[in-house]
Amino acid sequence: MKRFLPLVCALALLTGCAGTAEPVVQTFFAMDTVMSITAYDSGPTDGLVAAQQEVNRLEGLWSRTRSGSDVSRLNDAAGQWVEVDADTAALLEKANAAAQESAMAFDPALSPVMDAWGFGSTESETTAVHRVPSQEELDALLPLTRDLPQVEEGRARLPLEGQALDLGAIAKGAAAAYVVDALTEHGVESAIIALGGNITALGTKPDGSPFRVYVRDPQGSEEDYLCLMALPAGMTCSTSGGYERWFESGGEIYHHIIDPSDGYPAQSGLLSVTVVAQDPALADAWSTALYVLGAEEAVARWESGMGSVAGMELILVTEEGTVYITEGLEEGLETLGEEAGYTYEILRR
Amino acid sequence: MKFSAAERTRPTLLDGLVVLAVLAAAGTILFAFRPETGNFLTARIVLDNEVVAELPLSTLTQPVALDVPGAEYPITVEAEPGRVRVLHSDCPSQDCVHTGWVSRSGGQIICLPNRLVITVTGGTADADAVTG
Repeated sequence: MKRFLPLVCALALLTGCAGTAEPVVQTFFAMDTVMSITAYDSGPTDGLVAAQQEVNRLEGLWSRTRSGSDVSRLNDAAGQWVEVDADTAALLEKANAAAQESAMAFDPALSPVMDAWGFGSTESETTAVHRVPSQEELDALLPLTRDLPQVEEGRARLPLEGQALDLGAIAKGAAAAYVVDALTEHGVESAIIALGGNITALGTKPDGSPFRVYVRDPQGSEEDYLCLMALPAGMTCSTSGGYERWFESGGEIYHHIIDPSDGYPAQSGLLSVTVVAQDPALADAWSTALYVLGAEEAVARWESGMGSVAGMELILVTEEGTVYITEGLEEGLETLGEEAGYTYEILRR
Repeated sequence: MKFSAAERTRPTLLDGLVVLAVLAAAGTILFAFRPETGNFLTARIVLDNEVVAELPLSTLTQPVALDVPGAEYPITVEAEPGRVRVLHSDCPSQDCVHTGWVSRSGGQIICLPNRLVITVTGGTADADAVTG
């Protein structure tokens, strides 16, 4: 019998290897987008179910359209204190910090203006009526923005009546951290998490190599990519671009990233911004903020070595077709847009 | 302990057979569980979090059209060898129709109003996800 032992061991080992070959993919709709989690561990079902439940719970807190959510109650009672969940309070504080640090290029209280353009999340994207609001209308709405929600122990409030909060530019990113926790608690060690365009790498691929992510060409079709990059374990990448949502009126294109300073679609000279960061909520919020701030300001903040942006890696695509990529993303990078006319420049500090 | 394998200095014929058996078993198992490579693409159609159809794009010989059962806005998916698209949808946004053909592994077509997503899987995917 002893001589057959190696055979038995070899068989056991081989079946172990084979079990990890095919990942399990969970796809679901939440927070007005498609989410998918691809887990490479064997038997990840409990983790995937827990992760989806966690997203549903957070949507119940942070949705602007669900009555009874923390955000809905804050909006309905704008001007008054409202009791909120600890997770909501934490997200509001994070959103406020990003808003202040970005000099209000990211404003979670921009909803009244977003709604005027038909880009608000009160209606689903599919039924929204897009229109160009008049200057008078914007002038009347802008004073309702920029005053950030106040947060105290267990409660929050929008300072002014008529204000409205929309966490759409940070909530999906924030949810990724909860998804990672839910998966990790159930023993999942290798997964790629896509919550809308926010991609989070939980660990590495089973062979130890980093997950790889395509960055979409902002001027191309669905299958045109700017580059392929390695997403290190524990990092999240998030992309914002005017091409994602827009409408045409009178021969002009109006996109959905509104500059909080004047209430019009941001004209910063950028086509898209991809941010790679450790905190998925910050990756989400700063991709929007840097799109509004523009390439020069984004690079200056990155080069300064101070503040949140200095700790992130960036891909900035300008209207002239230059793609600036910070040095931390150079390893494992494959550029794919030369034929489409893009030129690439690695930023170093 | 007369027959203890540890005390023998030269391998016997039976040892050789065991080695061969291990190699053969290893080969068989590796082959049986080999990852699907080459261009075996499948389009998986998920409606409201349930898989409603899987279309084997690589083995199709002619175009097929599928009216997705149970969709809120009637939607027709067309597949032909190696690629898939939404041919027609009654949904208000038409984003799914505008996406056009998808042929690469990992590619997706999304119809939010219908809560429908078509994902191309299999083949050799270069990336694990797409941002943007």
